Amino acid sequence: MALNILVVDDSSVTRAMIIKTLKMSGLSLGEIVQAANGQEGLEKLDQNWIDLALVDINMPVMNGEVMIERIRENPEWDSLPVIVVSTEGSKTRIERLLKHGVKFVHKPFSPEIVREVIAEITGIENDFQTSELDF
Amino acid sequence: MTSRQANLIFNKLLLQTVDKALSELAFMIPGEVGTEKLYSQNWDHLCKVDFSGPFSGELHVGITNSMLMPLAENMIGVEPGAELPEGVCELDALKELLNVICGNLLPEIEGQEAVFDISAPEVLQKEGAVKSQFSELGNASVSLDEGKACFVIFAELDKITPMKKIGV
Repeated sequence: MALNILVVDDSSVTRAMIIKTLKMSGLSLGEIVQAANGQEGLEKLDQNWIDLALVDINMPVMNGEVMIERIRENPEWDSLPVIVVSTEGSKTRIERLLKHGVKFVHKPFSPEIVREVIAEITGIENDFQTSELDF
Repeated sequence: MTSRQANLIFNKLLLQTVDKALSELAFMIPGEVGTEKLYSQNWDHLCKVDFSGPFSGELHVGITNSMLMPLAENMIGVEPGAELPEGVCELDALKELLNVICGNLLPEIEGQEAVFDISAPEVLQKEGAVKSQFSELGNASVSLDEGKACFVIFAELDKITPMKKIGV
């Protein structure tokens, strides 16, 4: 199954890093959609079929925490797999996020960690190609 | 612990966090490290990030032009001299580096239960660069083959738990 993935981060560099990681992960990818903040992310979710979202926390306009709350409040998206990719170091806030059923990847991240967490949250580990990560 | 010892500890914490972020995010290993003062010299690029929480403050960075593009290239994983992906600005690499350092440093200072809000990093115009309304907490400087960078964290010293313990 090819996954359509939404990448939400206000940093163009981080979005590029995540997309490169996804492309080299061996994951079967469909469309990769980008957004620069939570509000834009919700709009992209509304306009596209998305199978997985990778979301930053600290962003202008609408932060990732609010975006995730909105996702979980919407019956169309309430079961969407979400991975938070953030520098967040507060256990308090991370625990609050985990209650929304998200997974957490701490920045700086390695491609292997991203791959593992995607496999875990989507349950499609067997769909990964067997090629080694090549960085 | 004296305030002088506290200053040494915060310098070390900042330096360790900078070193970890540079090596893990951009595969850049600093050659020389130190505690040079950011605003004692001129920089090609300056950037800062504000944070608020148990204590508020700012983290600033200055970087040489020669280090900026290698930083962006290494972070994204493109060959030296190759074009960056469409829509990607090399200054975003500096901003993201600062964001990662700030996000990793604050729990080291105040503990993992503390909740901080970190604003979007911003580029400072050299002419308008000011130190800060806050007091200096720590400095770190790194030199690499590609260039040089300096960091300084300013904060509300009297609200930082380890500083409160020594009566600063």
